[in-house]
Amino acid sequence: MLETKGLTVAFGGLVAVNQVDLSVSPGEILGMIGPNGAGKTTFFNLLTGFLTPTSGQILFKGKNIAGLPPSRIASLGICRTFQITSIFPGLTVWENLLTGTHCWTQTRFVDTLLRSRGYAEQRREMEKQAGEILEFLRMEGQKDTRARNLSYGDQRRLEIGIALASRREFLLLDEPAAGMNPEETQTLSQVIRQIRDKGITIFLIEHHMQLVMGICDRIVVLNYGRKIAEGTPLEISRNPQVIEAYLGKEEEFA
Amino acid sequence: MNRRKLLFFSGLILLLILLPWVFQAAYTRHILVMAVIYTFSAMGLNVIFGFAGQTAFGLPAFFALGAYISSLLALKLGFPFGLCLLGTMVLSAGFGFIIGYPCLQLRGIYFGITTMAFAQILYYIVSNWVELTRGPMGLVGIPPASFGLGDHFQFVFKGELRYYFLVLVASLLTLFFLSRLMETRLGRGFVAIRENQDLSASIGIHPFWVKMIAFMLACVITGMGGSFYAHFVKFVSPIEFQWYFIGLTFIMVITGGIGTIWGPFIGGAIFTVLPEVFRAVETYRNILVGVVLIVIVIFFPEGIMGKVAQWRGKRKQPAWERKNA
Amino acid sequence: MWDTTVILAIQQIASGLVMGSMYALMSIGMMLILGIMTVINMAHGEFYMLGGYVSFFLMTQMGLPYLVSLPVSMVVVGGVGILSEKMTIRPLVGRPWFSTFLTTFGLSMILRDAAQIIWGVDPRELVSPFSHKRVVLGPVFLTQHRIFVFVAGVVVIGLLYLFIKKHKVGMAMRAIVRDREASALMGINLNAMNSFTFALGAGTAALAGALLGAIFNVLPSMGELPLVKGFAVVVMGGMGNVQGILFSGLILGVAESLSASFISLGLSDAIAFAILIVILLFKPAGLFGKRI
Repeated sequence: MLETKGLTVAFGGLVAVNQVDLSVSPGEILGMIGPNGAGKTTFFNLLTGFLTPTSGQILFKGKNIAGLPPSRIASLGICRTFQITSIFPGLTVWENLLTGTHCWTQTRFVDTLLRSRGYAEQRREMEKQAGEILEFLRMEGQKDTRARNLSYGDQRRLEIGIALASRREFLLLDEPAAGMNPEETQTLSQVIRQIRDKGITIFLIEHHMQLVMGICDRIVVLNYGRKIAEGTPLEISRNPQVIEAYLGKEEEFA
Repeated sequence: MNRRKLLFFSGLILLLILLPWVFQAAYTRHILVMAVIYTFSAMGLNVIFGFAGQTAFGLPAFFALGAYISSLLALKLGFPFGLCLLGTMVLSAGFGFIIGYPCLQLRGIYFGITTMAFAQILYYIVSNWVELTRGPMGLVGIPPASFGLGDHFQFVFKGELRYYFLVLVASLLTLFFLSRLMETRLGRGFVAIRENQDLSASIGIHPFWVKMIAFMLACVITGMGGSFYAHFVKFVSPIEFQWYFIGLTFIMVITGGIGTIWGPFIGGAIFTVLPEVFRAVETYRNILVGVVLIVIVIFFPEGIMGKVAQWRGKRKQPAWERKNA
Repeated sequence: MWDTTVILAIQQIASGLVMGSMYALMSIGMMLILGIMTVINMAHGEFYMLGGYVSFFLMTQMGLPYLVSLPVSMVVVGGVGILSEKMTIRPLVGRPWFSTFLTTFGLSMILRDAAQIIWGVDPRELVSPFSHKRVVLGPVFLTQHRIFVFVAGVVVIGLLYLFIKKHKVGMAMRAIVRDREASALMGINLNAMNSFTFALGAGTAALAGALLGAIFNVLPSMGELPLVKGFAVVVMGGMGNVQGILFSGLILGVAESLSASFISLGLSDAIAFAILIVILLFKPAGLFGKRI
């Protein structure tokens, strides 16, 4: 579904992402790990158009998307969450989800202006989708809470909810478990699995080893911008280079 | 719209219609007209600042710009009012695009200050291009608004009463348009960008163009106000570009309730009427207005419409009418 | 010996530097208030104005000499600042930025009207002991007072710079900008710092007003333009950057002066904004600043 070939980005003398080749198959959960500063978020920024690569290609469903603006990439089918919780703070949970449905709603301007039937139908569809996600996240009780008033864990879930609402087929999750306690992480794992079961391809960055080892089909390891390993969780946990890269860090292996 | 809401709005509109009969003196009617005219400035700012969250400090200058454009169209090209208004809207959109394009390359307060810079430049151009604008002396003798078909039927909006209804209808139509606009995909885009620009981009909203449309729309609405102003007061001068007016417009929008539909209307009305009410104590007038302003800001954190929303309890409001609480 | 255009240019540059130093002085206060309190102080121009009036009052009603009236005026206006802060800013802790934008706007209306009531609309004259003595530097004529203004400006800005860098309170200010919560946890009294910063801003603006008041007259509306230009300089110079602001202020002053005589008086004010636009488009964080 997604493929990168020789993807590289350099800032001045610093090469943040260096000749990375990888591919993500439809319907799989791919994890990307690596020590801090390895270039993971930078990699995501390249994939989603927040950065333009210095060289290399990014092929999404066969089409090169390198350098396109984020909104364009989003409309092609990729959706991402951010390292710092990204939600619409002043809107309620319900409104957040409705906004997420923005991508695929095509109501004509005139229809809305006059509140014609086309508008009513579309509105119903949006609300249905938002309702489903609300149920899926089990946040019905917080429907009318302002997003900024939610607990951290809830905000993170909402973030994923918004991504889901956009009905994108490819989801990029940037450290979804950051700052979560073990219980929240468990819930998150389940949620991610359920999302995949709906047919959505997931590519995630994480530091939380238990999560990564637990749900990823395959893992890619980045260090200093280079890909140093790729394989199943079991293979990765045994890979000497990976272990070395992490020596001295505090992550634990499954 | 449920029964209660319908009743409320009908009542409100009825009240607005009846106002000129409550206040029959030409002077008070003049104030009513001005209040409605200034709501355009507030509504325009509300689109870019309230809904889209971009602090366009320089936007209110488009009010004066619209006034000048409309006057020049009438005086130099002999356009009838309807055409002047239309021309003003089109040209305001054009200027909005030209000025918006560089400004929107920047974000946050830098965007705001750049729009302010452009506003100041406009001010100085208008003050100094004497051949066109007569500089500080201003333009006079602007024909009053009138609608007509050929030479046979001319309806002139002479006098405060007729003008009041003209601008009231225009203002309410604009309000209606905006309330529907905020339920469209575009309107939702405004709010999304206000709340989180990067996230909006990630879900397919194109920040630059959506902001540009908001900005241009804001310019058009503000410019309309200017046009109505010019044909009512029949005199425009560079004074209208002053910084004070910019501050006043922000006051109107914020105290009314940013990002609400009726907020700018209420704020615009209050802060046009208030200084007049205090005219009796001329010397202390600004002090009183200043105090009222401070009090409103302190005690009405979400503006007047915000308080109204609170009093109505957590009633279900259309999502996009809410402001950044 | 010297070409007249060149002489005129040098003359204007000199005058521009004088004005520029005062723009910088105003702007530093605004920058501090913005950075430390997150407040856009719409009344800053009025503090500038009050500086001129208080100085006038002290000289005419209390018989103080001009030079003495300067620091006293600063203190008095600083006091007004503290009072204002308590009434228009303190109650709005935790509210979005535009709340204080509006209340300080209200404050500016109040102060301006008050000045008008007390002193009337007619311009008042401030007479400096240096006003009428000329100094000749090469081809350039300058009144002693203008030189005094420039020197005073640079000195005070220099003192501010050192204060922020070395003095305990100055460092506390920088800590607050860096991380407000952490500073509070470290024992820095945020309320006191807010009052102090606001007073400092008001006082320095007052000084600028009193200094320039002896060149141009003192009017209730004199603070209007300096306010807007002050913001332009803050943006140009960059937040947190005293040298940047000094430099930008000077550039602005000189650009204005030069365009006033070589292009047109009316457009010289517009030049400031044209420059600002150009700078922001090429260096979006200001000439020297990092993003706020």
